[in-house]
Amino acid sequence: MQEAETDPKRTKSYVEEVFRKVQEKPGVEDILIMNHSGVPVKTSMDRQEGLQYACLYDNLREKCQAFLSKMEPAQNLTLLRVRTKYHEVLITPDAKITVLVVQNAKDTFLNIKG
Amino acid sequence: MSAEVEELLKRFQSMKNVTGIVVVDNDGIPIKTTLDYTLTLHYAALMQTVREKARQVVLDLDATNEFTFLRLRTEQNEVMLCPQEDYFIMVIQSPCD
Repeated sequence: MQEAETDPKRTKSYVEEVFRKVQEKPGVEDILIMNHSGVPVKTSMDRQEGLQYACLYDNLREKCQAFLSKMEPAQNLTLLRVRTKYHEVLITPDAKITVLVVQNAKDTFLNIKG
Repeated sequence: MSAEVEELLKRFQSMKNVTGIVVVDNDGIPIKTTLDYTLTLHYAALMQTVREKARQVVLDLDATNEFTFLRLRTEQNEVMLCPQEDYFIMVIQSPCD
């Protein structure tokens, strides 16, 4: 890690802090934190699952970011939320890290759908 | 499009912070919109790609899972995408927590 870089600093302790704080939230199933290159640096998933989530969802995030850049005026993605049948995935891109959280979303969407 | 969806659209439109609603069919053609035409086409084309990508990502991870909703948040606004069988609904609003 380049210590000489200006803010924002995303050191090891910062990652640990983010991980700990997100873990405290109710309903959180899994957490995955990636670096700028899309490599997972800390995760509560097993290795194979973590790599799969990291690859696929980071790709989706890149796609969404590209889409927003094409809008006039260009916008920056701050949060991506993907709701699926069984859970909800939140992706928060940051300057140097990306935080991916898988949670049980408590809402009545599926009831409405039925 | 059923009357049920019409009612939903009216409900969305009356909500605070909602700045635009677009309904797009599966071919990427806008059916109903409250935005101007150029912006509608732009959103429709791009969000159709995003929708397919999101659906594929969810299926790749778990074949029994299903993509039901997407929310894109930026500093200026928030885009919500709800896919249905024959079309999808897009709602654009100012972000508020």
